[in-house]
Amino acid sequence: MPENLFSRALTRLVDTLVIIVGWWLVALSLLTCVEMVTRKVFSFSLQGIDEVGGYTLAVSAAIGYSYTLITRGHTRIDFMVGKLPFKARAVFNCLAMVTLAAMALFCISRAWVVLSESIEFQSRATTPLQTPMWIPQSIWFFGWIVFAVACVYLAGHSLLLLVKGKHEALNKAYGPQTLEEEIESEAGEVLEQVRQQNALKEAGAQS
Amino acid sequence: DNPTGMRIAGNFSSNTKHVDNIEKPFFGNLPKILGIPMAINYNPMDTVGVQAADALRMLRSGTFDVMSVQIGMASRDDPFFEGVDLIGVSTNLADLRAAVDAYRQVFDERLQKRFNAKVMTLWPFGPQVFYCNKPIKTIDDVKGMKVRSFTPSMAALIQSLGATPVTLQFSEVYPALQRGVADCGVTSPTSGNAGKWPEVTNYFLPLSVSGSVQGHFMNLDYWNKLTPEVQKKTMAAFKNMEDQMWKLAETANADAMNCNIGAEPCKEGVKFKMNLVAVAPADAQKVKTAVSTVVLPLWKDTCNKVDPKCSEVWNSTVGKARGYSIK
Amino acid sequence: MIGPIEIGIGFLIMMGLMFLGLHVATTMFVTAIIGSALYLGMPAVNAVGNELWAANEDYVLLSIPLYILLGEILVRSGTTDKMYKSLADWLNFLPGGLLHTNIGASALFSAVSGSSVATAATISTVALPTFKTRKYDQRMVLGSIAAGASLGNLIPPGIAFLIYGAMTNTSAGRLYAAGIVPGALMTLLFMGTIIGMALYRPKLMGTKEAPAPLREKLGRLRHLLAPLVIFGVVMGCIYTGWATVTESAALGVVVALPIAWLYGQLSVRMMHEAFRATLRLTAMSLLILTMAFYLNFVLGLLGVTQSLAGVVQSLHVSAVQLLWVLAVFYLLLGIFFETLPMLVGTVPLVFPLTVAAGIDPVFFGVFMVLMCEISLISPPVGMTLYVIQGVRGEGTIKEVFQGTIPFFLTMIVMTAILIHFPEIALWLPRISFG
Ligand code: NA
Ligand code: NA
Repeated sequence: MPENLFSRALTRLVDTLVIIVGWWLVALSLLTCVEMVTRKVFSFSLQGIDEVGGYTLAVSAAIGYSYTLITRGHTRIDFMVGKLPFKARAVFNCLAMVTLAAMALFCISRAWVVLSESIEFQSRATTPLQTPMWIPQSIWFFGWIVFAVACVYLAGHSLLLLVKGKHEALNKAYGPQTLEEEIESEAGEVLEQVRQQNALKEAGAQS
Repeated sequence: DNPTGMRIAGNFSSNTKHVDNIEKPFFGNLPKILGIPMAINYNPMDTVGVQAADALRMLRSGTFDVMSVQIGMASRDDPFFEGVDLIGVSTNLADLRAAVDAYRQVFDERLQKRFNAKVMTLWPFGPQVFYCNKPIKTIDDVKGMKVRSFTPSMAALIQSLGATPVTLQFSEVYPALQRGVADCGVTSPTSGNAGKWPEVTNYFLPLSVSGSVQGHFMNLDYWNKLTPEVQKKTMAAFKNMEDQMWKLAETANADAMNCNIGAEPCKEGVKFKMNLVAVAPADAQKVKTAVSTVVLPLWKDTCNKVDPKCSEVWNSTVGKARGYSIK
Repeated sequence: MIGPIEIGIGFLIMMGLMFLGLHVATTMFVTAIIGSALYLGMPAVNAVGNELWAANEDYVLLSIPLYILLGEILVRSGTTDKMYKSLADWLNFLPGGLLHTNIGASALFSAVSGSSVATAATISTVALPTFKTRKYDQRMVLGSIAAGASLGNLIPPGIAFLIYGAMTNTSAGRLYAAGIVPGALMTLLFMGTIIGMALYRPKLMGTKEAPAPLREKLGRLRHLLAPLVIFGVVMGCIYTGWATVTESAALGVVVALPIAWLYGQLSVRMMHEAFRATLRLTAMSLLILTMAFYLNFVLGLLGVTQSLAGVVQSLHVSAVQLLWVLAVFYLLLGIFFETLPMLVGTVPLVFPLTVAAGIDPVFFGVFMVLMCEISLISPPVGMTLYVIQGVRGEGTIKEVFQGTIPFFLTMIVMTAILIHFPEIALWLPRISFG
């Protein structure tokens, strides 16, 4: 991502959303346990956890898409592109971003139809909660909007780099992650933590 | 000019009697019956990943030309359609047929107006009856039990009987009954027999609270492309299928009920030995009271929000046929 | 309905776009849109909106983020290296010594984690320093860790099972039950491979150390409790029917929290890191999965299912023959592919064939996951191999490649056993679910 205020704001927004969803997952897990116990012991059922859980996944995924995009986690097969000369590689990296943005734009146009039909029909889930569908679908749609905005922004930037002939910068920012980067993001934090613990322990053993 | 192809989303593939024995042969033979060459593209909805609740939207947009629709699920987008078979209103197939026939015209008008689709058939899966794993003698005995429910009005009925409604997907009901997560389940004799519920329940109460009504709807643009002569033939053909479905609901469920309680003739299902709990007149009366006090007001609340005339239309159709009136 | 030639062209287009480096989700989306625009018309193209919502609003799939979160919390709680030491106490006597601990620890960690990559990262971080002074052949060390990691999805819980279940309407609970025996058998086969190598080439093995005093060994046993408790809670609740798959995943998350606290690692910062990792992996899987659902919808409407099933039926191949053809196909595909693209990219096409050939969907799920695990350790494209090399930070990736060879062969033996004795997968789900 280019270094500017918009990038920082976008990253901040997405990260905040991810943290909120994370705590919500923990809260829902706790609620699920409460429900299991009351159902088993007191014959009392908090209805609708499964329904809310379904909405939770749709929302978590939609919000996760932009976080994964920003951290360059969406899967690509880099086997062949990685072997190309760097100019050709830049073209394909740019193409990947532009097609992803096109897909995201088409998806939000169709997702909007889903939401607007739910509003038009005043659709309510046929469950004991009778949730008005527009409520979970609005949050879900918002996640898709953020994803589409991020996609278009990054695709635009990659096009700009391509036009300006800054191939190396393009490959660096939008190429499939290098091995080190990928390990860093997949397992990096974990490894760091374990290393720290080991170091602490060794220090403890020596003293 | 008549269309050269028909794209159909069929019922759930697990309902083999409806899908393999009726729908597939019906649509396969349709070009021959109509006398026009037509490429038939039939898929049960679950095999193409179509959600039952999306049926009306997909008919409106023309994704499919004909769809097998589960009314209960599809009423997410319009509670009016649920009115054809509100919980407890029709407690046997004859009563249900009277209700369906009374509602058919207003149902079709509304479907055409709001969802650009036409009613071709309306038919039931079969009576939704009680399977319990604790002894019951009357419906009063479900008080304090956990009963699996799958719609708001069913939950309301169960609550008014003093029981606790539990929501579970169909596939989860068997283990739930086995381990006591639920004490009773409600489904048709055939579905319960096929799902082996009698293995985990002992008391069978054939008090029907719903018929689980289904339908075949056709996209209106598609219908209008058919010539008047072909329209007439098409309608007749679907009517024929509708009769088959009603007959299936009757015979298959009678057979499955025999199988569940270990009686004869039991030809289609697996034989079990559940205790039959006879439905007392008092039970039917109890359900009737719950319908008037709980189910109908709840539905009125939901439906009149979308269309203030909902309950009025219902009173003059199903209500009249079944002797109910929403105040 | 379209014929096998058009289907082949469509498949090649998708593969071609993948090799051009487009995002895997995009390639599926583009293929589906081309197919539906050419043969089905705009209403089918527009149905993508309904699929976007329907594919993601799914309570069973909610267990994907929950299992990932559970694993992330547990890894960050630092239980794994203590678990490793305790296992070493009891496995060291075998020929091959400490190498067995790599397999055992991986199997144990797999029982609480749904991801093979996470297993590889965790076990290699804990294990590699232990081997520094012990003169084992590096290739055997690396190979055994890679092999152990491939248990990550096969031993339940596993993300691959959940995704396969969602795509084919197969019960996740049954798939989990079906994975247990093959997972345990593969663990034993890997250990057998190590014993075989130790007897055949003793030089590859390192120094054997004197066992620790029994008191110490017993004292360390408590570190095996955390993974065992979580596995017991998660699988026990599914097995007894107290909880659905998703509920048990939620239960696992709730049990992992006090464990992290007991090990002194529970903090807001740690939780936030776990959230980020969870959503990243969840979204990565779900974007591909969502587009695969849409592709599946289009393929169904195009009649691809019936068309291919017809071809298979006309060839009169038996189930066993079909499985061997598929095994070869997946071994080749697995050279270039990772688990998820391979799974979601081929299941819509291959699953109907196996149904037509009368193969049990639960059994085929286990077969598919085994194929995915082989693809993870078959070079040159294999995420676990690079993760291990990354953690190692010395030598060359070639040594990792070489080290996996004996275990790769073992997995082919496992494939043969599974194909010819499907009961090892089907027995447990049958006795537990009827
Ligand atoms: Na696992
Ligand atoms: Na590979």
